[in-house]
Amino acid sequence: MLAYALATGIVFGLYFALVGIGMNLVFGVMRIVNLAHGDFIMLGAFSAFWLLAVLHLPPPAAIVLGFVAFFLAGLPVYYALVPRLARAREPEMLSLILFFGLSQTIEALAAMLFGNSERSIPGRLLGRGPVHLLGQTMPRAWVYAAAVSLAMLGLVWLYLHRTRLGRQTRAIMAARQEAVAIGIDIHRISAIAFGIGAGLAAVAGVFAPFMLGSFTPALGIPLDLTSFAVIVIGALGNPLGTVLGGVIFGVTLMLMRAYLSSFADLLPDLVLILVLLVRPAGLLGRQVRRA
Amino acid sequence: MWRDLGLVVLPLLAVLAVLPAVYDNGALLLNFVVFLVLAQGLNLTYGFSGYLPFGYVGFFGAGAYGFAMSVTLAGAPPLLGVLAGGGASLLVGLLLTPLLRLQGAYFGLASLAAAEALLHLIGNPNLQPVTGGPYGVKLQAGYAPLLTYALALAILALTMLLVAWLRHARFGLRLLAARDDALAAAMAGIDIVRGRLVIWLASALAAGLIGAVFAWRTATFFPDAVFDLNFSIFAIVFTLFGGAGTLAGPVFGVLLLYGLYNAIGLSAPQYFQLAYGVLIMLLALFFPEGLAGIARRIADG
Amino acid sequence: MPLASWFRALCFAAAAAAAIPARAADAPAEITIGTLYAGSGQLASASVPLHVALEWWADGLNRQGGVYVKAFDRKIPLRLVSYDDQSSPALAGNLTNQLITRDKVDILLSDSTSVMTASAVPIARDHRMLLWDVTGSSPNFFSADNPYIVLLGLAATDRYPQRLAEFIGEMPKLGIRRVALLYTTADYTAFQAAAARKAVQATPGLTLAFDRGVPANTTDYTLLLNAVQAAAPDAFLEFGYPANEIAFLHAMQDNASKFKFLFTGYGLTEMDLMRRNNVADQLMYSFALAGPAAYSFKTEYGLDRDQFRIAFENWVAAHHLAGVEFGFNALAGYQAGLVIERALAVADSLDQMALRRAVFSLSGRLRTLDGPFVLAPDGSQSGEILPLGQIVPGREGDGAIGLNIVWPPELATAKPIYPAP
Repeated sequence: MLAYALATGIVFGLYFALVGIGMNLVFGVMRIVNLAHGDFIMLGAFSAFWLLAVLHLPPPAAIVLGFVAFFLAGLPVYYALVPRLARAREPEMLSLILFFGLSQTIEALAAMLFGNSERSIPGRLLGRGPVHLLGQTMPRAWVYAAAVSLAMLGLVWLYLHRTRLGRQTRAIMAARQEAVAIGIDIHRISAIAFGIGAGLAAVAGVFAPFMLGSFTPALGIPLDLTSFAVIVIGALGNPLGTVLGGVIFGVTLMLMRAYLSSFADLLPDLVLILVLLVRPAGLLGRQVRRA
Repeated sequence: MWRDLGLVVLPLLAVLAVLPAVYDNGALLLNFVVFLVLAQGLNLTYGFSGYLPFGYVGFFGAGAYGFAMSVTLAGAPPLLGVLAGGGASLLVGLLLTPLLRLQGAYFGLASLAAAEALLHLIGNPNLQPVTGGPYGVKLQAGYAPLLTYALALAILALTMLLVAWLRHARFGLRLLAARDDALAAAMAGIDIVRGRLVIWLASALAAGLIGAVFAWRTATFFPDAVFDLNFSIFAIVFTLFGGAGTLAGPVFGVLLLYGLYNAIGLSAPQYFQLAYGVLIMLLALFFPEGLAGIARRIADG
Repeated sequence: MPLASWFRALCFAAAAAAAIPARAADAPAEITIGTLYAGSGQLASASVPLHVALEWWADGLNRQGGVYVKAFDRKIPLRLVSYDDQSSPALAGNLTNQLITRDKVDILLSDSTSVMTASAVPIARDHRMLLWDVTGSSPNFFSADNPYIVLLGLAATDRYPQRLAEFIGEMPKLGIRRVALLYTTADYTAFQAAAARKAVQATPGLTLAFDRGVPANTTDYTLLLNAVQAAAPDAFLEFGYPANEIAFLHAMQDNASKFKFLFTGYGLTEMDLMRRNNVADQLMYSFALAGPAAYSFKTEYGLDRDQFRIAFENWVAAHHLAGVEFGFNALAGYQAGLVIERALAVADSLDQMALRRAVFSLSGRLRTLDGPFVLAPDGSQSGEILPLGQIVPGREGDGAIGLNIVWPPELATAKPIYPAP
């Protein structure tokens, strides 16, 4: 049971990392707490519902379409909202208000368009039958979700470390003022990062129905809470820390499910607090900064 | 200090004290006072020390359950129960003091995790004999709308007095200076650290006391109702938009935004969430400086 | 005329007006019914269908000139005053107060679910308004000293699992020895699990092989399913809210799990929702309390289940309402309307206590599609006890679903099929 709980925890944790990474990228580059991130994922789930269950597209097509569509939609959202934030005395705080408003607006529109009741997608659309593991079973969809999550996380790493845009993105994350000084176009890089964040949310959304059983327009806030925990354990603004955060979150959750299920929600919260008390900037945080 | 009292605290309290006589939605009035206290409580900790606890509702819930448990388990009279609620939130505040080592969003999110952990603990079925667990709380404290409202006003008065005093006392001014300048804070040394701790506990106490009053008034509730994340989110949005660190800012933030919230809810319930979401976005986009910015624009003509 | 004389005249006129008994001429232009619904947030999925059914019901009566009110011996149009509480109990407090003191509604309905009803109970009591509690079934709401609440649509939580508890006593006769319990730790589901646990412990020959609570937001059941299977139960009882159950059934599907005896809390309560979520197949041969949306109670007043279903679905289609399914919640909204309708037809006045007497006079005499309406003295619902059903293949074949009632014996239509084929 222990090995199995660890295995499901890692699989689920990789998915949680995908859930959180978009929010972390946006925070790292723009210092914005995107409270609408969970709602982007919720919209991704509704898109997947249409693409997979209604239009019967193959899952890889849904992933690619979701990412591209949300990436493109993220660009105008960035230009409409984020540059104005810079006019405030405390942009990070104003972002909380602004994105709270956006989150409410998205949830309301989704409820009007799709209704409030639970929707889901049959797991067999991602392949029939369970995967056998350590004498136990796991839904095939989980394995695909973990694999795609890992691939997306790898792509984010490649983008950040192996492309010119990515290096500029990291420069902004590390030292914003200096990045401006050496002529990096902050808005262009940030807009792309915001788009990538939205695109990653869409991919997380495609798998949300399979990982979370069902979804409703109210899914956003609970996903935000999960994302917070995952990215804070790892390190705010460090997208790769998110992977570690996700796996730790997933493993603690599944261990509790296996051994002390009624307290399953409690432990990830306590782990988060403990991690921060030992390493005040998250496990992979380099320095404490006034975020 | 006296100017603050005369221009903000007394008029506000006077209006709030008279309102029940002319306006008969007592629950709405009480919730206005609840959010005024929560906003000023956040104002204490964020305005004077820069800590923004996303999990501020944890103190509110702790106060509510401190009240409920002292009344149901120990048979305390309700007034004593309110103090017990305050005590419970102080205790939680003390337990969370190590979090003050964290900064910015780390602190905010750690406090949120703490509030969630407290909710999951209280709502756990294994604790049913103590907290009622998922079955919720049923209080026989006696429903006392006027008394609970008066108590809420008293808590509001105390919280605002503390804010007003801090704004003028040397102690508060040093805290303010330290908040805006991390270097100065590091130099300032031990009394700033102690000062922040005191503020943190005062802020926890305010939320706990008002949580206890809310529990008394609500009488029957489930854990989710008093640990509802909306208390945190709303109080933060109202305070930030009104202007932290000032006395009048959070007041006007609550009056305007919570007022509009209820006005939309009553006049256009079918578009409630949409209208309020769009309104919040527009305010954030066009008044990035919050109410202070609006006031300045009006002053400049 | 001096002021004092004016005042005296006014008092005199008021006293005279009060002395005249109510006549048809004094009838109000409309009967106002105030209610809350959760248009957003976690509880919207349960609340919206109920509110839609209320709107349909009020509209239907108004098309016939209104509801018959005995106090004025005539039909009076209905007006529904509804606010969205956004699944927030604190906001529900404001809005309930608004309905009472500002809108001065004649009849006060609560939002669905116990969480939201809780905030309305003390406010209604303080204002001496009868709270027509639609589905808030927590025992916390009812006490002998509070006459201002009646539960309309659902047996109180402590009575709700009665038939299941009785049936557990019969399990050894089927050859069941080991029982597994899995439940979400929320009021409604934990209560049912507690009743089941008590019954298992009281039955010689039964042992609890597995007994776990999980947080109410649990949606990944794979590990739990594996753990239950490892305990090798003969019977597996699972209690959750719809979101939990959909996730649970998906997990069964994805892990190809099978149990000899499966009971689910919501299987026969929101069947259409389960079907829309493609998990209905998974329920084949499983057991559940047969809610009124799945089981046709003998109906003496109002539409029966099938008639209501057609009417409701037509209304939903005509108004282009997305994501609103026929199920228990929709039916509970109609049930509230039916009780109001009957109570107004016998109440002597619109006074709140007169309305309470009228509702209590229906107790034991009203049989609707929601079952027999029986009130306990504290206002909680004691009728509407659901029989235990087993889902079986429909007669037509072709994926249609049939229902056998297996308990209590006086309602049973078939013997339980165990183990599931």
